Amino acid sequence: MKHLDELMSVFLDGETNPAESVRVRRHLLECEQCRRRLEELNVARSALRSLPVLELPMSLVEPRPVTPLVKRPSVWVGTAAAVAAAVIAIATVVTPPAEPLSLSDVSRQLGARASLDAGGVSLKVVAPSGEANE
Amino acid sequence: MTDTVPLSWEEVARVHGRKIYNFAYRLCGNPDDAADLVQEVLLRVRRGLDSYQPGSFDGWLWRITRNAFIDEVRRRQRRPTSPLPEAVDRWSAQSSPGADEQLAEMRLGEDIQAALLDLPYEFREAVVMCDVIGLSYDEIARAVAVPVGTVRSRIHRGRKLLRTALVEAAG
Repeated sequence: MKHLDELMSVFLDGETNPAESVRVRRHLLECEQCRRRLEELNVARSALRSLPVLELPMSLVEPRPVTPLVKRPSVWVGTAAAVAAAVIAIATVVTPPAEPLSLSDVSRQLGARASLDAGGVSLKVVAPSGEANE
Repeated sequence: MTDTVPLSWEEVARVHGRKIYNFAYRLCGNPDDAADLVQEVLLRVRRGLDSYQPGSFDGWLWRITRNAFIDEVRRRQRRPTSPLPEAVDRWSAQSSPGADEQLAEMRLGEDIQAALLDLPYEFREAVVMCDVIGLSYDEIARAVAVPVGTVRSRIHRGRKLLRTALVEAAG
């Protein structure tokens, strides 16, 4: 005789289809071992169903304070911006210009006074310290 | 089970929060972890409500709940199991053991919870979804993404192991 095994739990839960229900009922009439096992399974099932229902902690359902949408920039964002600005400034100073510098360019970029010598051949740049470079 | 979509996150918390909490508590046996899981599930629900496609809301919700629990278990795999709080003993003492004579002498809640925690996860999840939450086999199968036949087997084996553990605890 083939015993019911897992079909007994399905039967306890009312999840058997009509054909299975008939088979289970017939078998239980003839098999004392399966009747005993069915009772044992029902012990476990009843035990689980007897567990008290726990209430949800109130802290989980109370409305939460609205958090501001505007975020403070992080330290990393500020640092990254400063580094980027420094790189751009350095690149501007050291990158050779695509075209010859005009006097106004030199004056603007180096902050120095520039003037042509009397012959107009060489360029004399006077740095803010007062030293002249040719 | 309802197919209507709750209007808001707050309503999901109000209608389903207690079941999610009980599911989590019975699986982990710890009120703090259970509360954390409820918060995580509600957060995922809040994120997912906009993209939710009308269908079985309960199936969607339990899939989220189950996945959140699995993620949490993986995250805390190395954490030792916390002991049950004293409050559980108090609740157990107040609970009714029902008509089953074989369980009359047991410290019901504590023994059942301890036996539950000793079950392999798949069996524990199946019996909690079935016997504590009250989901049908089809709903469990959808939530866990396994065939109904697997659900049948897990519930049956889970109950057999649980019954053996309860008898040992009572002996």
